[in-house]
Amino acid sequence: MAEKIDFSKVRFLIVDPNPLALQMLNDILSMLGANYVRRATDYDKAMDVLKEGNIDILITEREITPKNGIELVDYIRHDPSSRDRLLPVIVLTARSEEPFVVEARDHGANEFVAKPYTVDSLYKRLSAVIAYPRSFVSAPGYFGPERRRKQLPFNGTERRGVDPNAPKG
Amino acid sequence: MASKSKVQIIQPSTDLRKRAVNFKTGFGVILSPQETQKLQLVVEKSSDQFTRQIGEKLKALREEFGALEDGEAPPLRLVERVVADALEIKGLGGTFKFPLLTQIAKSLHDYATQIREPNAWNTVIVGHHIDALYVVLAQRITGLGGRIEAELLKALRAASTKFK
Repeated sequence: MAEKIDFSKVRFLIVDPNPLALQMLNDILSMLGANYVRRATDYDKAMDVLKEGNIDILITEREITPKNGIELVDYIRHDPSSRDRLLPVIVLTARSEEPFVVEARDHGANEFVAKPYTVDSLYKRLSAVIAYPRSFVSAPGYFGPERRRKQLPFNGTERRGVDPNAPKG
Repeated sequence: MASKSKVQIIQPSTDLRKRAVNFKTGFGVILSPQETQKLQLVVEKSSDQFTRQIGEKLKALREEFGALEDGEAPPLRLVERVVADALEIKGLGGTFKFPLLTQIAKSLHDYATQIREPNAWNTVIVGHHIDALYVVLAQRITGLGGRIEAELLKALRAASTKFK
């Protein structure tokens, strides 16, 4: 039997300054069955919601004000007051050129979806963060999901350890 | 070389998976064609709103650029608006089956982003982009269009490179 995702159990925060983009994303999530979708049109409103907690997935545009979506990811991953440093983050942005993909990845975003997007491409990323969560890496200069997606044979010296005090899933 | 103690692997939280993934309710982890179609209908429902909203933005920009005298440079605040609107159109066009809008808007965004001190050429090049976007929307040219549209895009890109 195939696995399904019950989106009524998932709490979303979606951030986009464009009302139509925000509404459309909200409608897609509603169609999926999500009934807890908080919306924000800028950084400050998103921060207010994040500080309240009770969010399972953040989907944010990069181009928000007064700070950008990547700074929102930085807050989640690094700020001592962050409620959930492991919060899954999907960057959904019209800034789709390679440097922005690399930037999002290196700041700890879980997934990147380039606008214009198809429902299929968005769903794949949603499905990935819910059904196949990735390990996190804490290293000097980086805290975020494992950036290596393919498990290839590695013949070198293993330099990464497992933190016995790290939060367990 | 990073020392072993400084790089740690944290096991992923499976709380969300435990809560949401099941075998009875919801959408498949991999979407079926029927489920994709259902979601696609949501996008199509917003299509009229998209053409109306973008049409209004383009109309307003056309009026502002049309009001500039021959040889007049656009004010910086207008250039900033062009940058923001172009990014928005770039991001939405393709989703609503207007990939040509996305491509022209990308060309416009790339061009307008690098304007620091506006000059008269900027008025001309931005104006042509806005006209092209307007025509694509007004004529409902979905898809990438044909040979003429490809030539138009090529010409806009060439002009953007030449007249900075």
